[in-house]
Amino acid sequence: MVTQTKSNPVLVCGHCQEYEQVSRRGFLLGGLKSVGAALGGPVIAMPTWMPRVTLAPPHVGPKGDTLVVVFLRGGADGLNIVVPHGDDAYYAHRPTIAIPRPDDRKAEHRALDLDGFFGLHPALAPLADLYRAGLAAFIHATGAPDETRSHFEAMAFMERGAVATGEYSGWLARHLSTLDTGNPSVLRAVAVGEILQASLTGAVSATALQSIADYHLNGRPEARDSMKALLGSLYEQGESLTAATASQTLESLRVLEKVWQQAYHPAGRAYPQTGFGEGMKMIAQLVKARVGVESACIDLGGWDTHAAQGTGEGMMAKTLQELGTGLAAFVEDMGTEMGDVTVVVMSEFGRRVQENGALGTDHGHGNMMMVLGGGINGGKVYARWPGLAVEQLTGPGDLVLTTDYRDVLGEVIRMRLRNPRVGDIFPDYAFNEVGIARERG
Amino acid sequence: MAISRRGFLTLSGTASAAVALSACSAASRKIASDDLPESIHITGADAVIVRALNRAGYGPRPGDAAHAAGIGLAGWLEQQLQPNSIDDPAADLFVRNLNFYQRDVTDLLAQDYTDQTRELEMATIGRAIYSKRQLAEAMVEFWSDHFNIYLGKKEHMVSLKIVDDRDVIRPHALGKFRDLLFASAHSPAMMLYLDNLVNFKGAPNENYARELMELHTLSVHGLYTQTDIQELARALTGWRVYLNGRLDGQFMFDADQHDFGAKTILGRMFPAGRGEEEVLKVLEILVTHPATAKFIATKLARRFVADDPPAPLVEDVAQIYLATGGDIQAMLKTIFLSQEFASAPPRLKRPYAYMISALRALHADVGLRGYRQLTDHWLHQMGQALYHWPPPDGYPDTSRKWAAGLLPRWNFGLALATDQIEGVRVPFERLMEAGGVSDAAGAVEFFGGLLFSRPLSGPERALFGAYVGGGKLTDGGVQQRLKEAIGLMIASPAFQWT
Repeated sequence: MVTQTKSNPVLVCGHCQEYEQVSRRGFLLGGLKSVGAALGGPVIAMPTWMPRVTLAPPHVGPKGDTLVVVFLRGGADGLNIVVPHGDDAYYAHRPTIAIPRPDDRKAEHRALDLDGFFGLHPALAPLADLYRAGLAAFIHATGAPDETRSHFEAMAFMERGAVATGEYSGWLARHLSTLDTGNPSVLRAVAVGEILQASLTGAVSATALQSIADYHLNGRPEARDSMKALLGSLYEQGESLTAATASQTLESLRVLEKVWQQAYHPAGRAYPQTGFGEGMKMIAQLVKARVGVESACIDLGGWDTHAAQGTGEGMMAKTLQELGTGLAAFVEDMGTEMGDVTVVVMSEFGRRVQENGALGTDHGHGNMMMVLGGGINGGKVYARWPGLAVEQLTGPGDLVLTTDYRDVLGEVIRMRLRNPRVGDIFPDYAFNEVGIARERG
Repeated sequence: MAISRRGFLTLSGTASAAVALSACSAASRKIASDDLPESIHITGADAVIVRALNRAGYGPRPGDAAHAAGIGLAGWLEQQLQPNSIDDPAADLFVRNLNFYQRDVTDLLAQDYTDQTRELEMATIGRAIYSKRQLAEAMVEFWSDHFNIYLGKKEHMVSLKIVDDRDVIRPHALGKFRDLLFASAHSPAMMLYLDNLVNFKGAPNENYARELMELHTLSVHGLYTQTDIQELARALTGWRVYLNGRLDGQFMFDADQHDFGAKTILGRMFPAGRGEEEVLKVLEILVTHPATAKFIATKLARRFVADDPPAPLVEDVAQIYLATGGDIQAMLKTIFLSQEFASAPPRLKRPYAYMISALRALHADVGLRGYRQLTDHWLHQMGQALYHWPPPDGYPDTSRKWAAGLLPRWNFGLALATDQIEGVRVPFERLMEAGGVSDAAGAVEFFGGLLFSRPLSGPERALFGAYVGGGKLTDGGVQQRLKEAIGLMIASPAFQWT
């Protein structure tokens, strides 16, 4: 977070009354008071790696939707996820690995038709239901303009939301820092895993969580408070980078103690018993526990399908099943609260249109995205389709990009998260309208 | 590359009941255990020496800082750069007792993969903890990240990785980068990991060709093009591995699968009809390229000096690379004896180094079950499970990337010091005896010194002293609180940062 000072009165979101008294800053200072005096007055300094841009004071407004960002790491093959079955060239390029047309009676695992031109991979049947219910939309021929086809460059561009200019902040961190919702929770942004996603780089209030159940300090229960106090004092004295995360960790321990003591029974279908499934379940649990979560990042890997990716069945179908089931379980678990949640699914790039000799696909360019939620214009595939004929492709034979991913995210941020400051979040970018999100009331 | 950072859970979940590993034999453990100075004095060692022990290795064991201070940084470095000159009986015996490490790949492929995974993990961690050839071990870790191999790719990957560790990484870890690169390019583990096994004539697979330039040599800013990737992929067709028979798992150049057509790679024409020698020529171009020199220099300077490596040092190291054909010893010498290293900013230990350094500082004894706890539970919790990073770029290497995951580190420190890790024991009494500790305050001072390699600061002394409280060392409550205080020392920022 860039802006720490707050001149406006605190607007308390309906979700976090319990925590309005314990702003991060208040907690930090409270902690210092108890132990700091003997230590000669520690200095609170911003970590040096914080974004160096000076932004205007944040927009003050109520919390919008909770945003869940699912990143498919490895470059997911969007052409076999949201299948352009109406484009004959798709089948010409992929004689072995194409997903058969919805009306191909000879085939067993056919695409599930969405709109007569696009269809979903059959392993994503749960998402087809959500699409028909208006809770899911897809975007195609989308992505970031990065041309390197390198996983790491493409991810860096996408998660920074800008060309690298020496400032190390992510787009989601800039969203959080430009919108003041009066939400002081240390769990305002949650990262599932041990390492923060790059989109959250620079966010002060982001907490990395692997599992709620494991989130407690080991040791004798009666000694924990003094252990935490000691750790708090030591870290205040140490390097600013870990001083910040330590105080957050201690506060998260306090908040989550109340959450993990209660058994959690998801509504709806079972989550997949995988890291992704458990992570989605944890996000739902945190949102329902009203601990102030406004955004959550989660990764799903296994998409770098250079070889033997399969068709309606096989390696990629398995990963897609995990994705589809996890998303559907989440939507069902949230129930009517999906009206206050938006889920975005994205990946660093799509894959080559032409299959390779190993029945896989190499790194490509344009890709699909998914948006789920109660406040979106669902039941539609948003695509200005560039076509897959050889002369319509870009670079070594890749899908052309006709919708920049920033148009999609920008709209979600403006309409659903109620943050008008998209120009600070994605600098030097002229937005185009997609029409995917309804304005939150 | 399969980027699921969780996918490996399914692989490591099944533990073989009958692991016949003898490497942590009583004999090598006894040598390591006996190797404790009779008396240990905590003095404030030179900060640069301590930094070298922490970054060019896995931190001091009791007595190491005093020894290194005695011979000076240059003297210590000279020894570490000649690992074979270092007398290291515990590690030598440990390695001799490794079971799978002595076998050829064809044999390994027929053995139990879970057992091999256990041995690979133990062989890595055991040497990091107990070997006196610390810089060599640190460089094994460095190159294992640079030439990352992900065990979760296929269940038999572990056999190929054992061979890669033994025949590619370790022999060249302190040698020439050129030899390392050429050896890696012939490594069956790399062929499998980056799909060159399925890179066929007429239907090339770009995976290895791309990462060979982007991650192993030129870096993404190294001015190659997508066309270079595609042409190099064609040249790499036929670089494969025997898939069965007497040579199962060994490297082969398969002329039947090689694309003998003409190619242009990095501006150089390769006429039709060329075989294996094409790629050897390209490797030569890559390894002598200034972009490669800069990339390797940058990564070394980042690992050992600073998240944002100082440009003049990078330039110096890159020049040495170019002048010496990538001589790793010469580059390291420049780095560790540089002004930039002497005044280096703090770096957050990565979880693996954090764990190993705690075990070393407290002279911990690790048994067979201990290795399993350390790998299956603790490294996994802290986010750096060995050889389980799916993408080909290796584990992150900056402080800011790792700063979010403090809680599992705190819990590791507390578990280690309070005897909660099965199969891992800290010899508290022996250590205190050697330290001449007689009371609680002295014990706090002593363990603080072992862990921080300096006397406690005033505030630290007050905080830890107050935590332990008064009373005799024979008192059960004092002992409990002392161990917890040691756990909190391990958890503290002074031990997390080097």
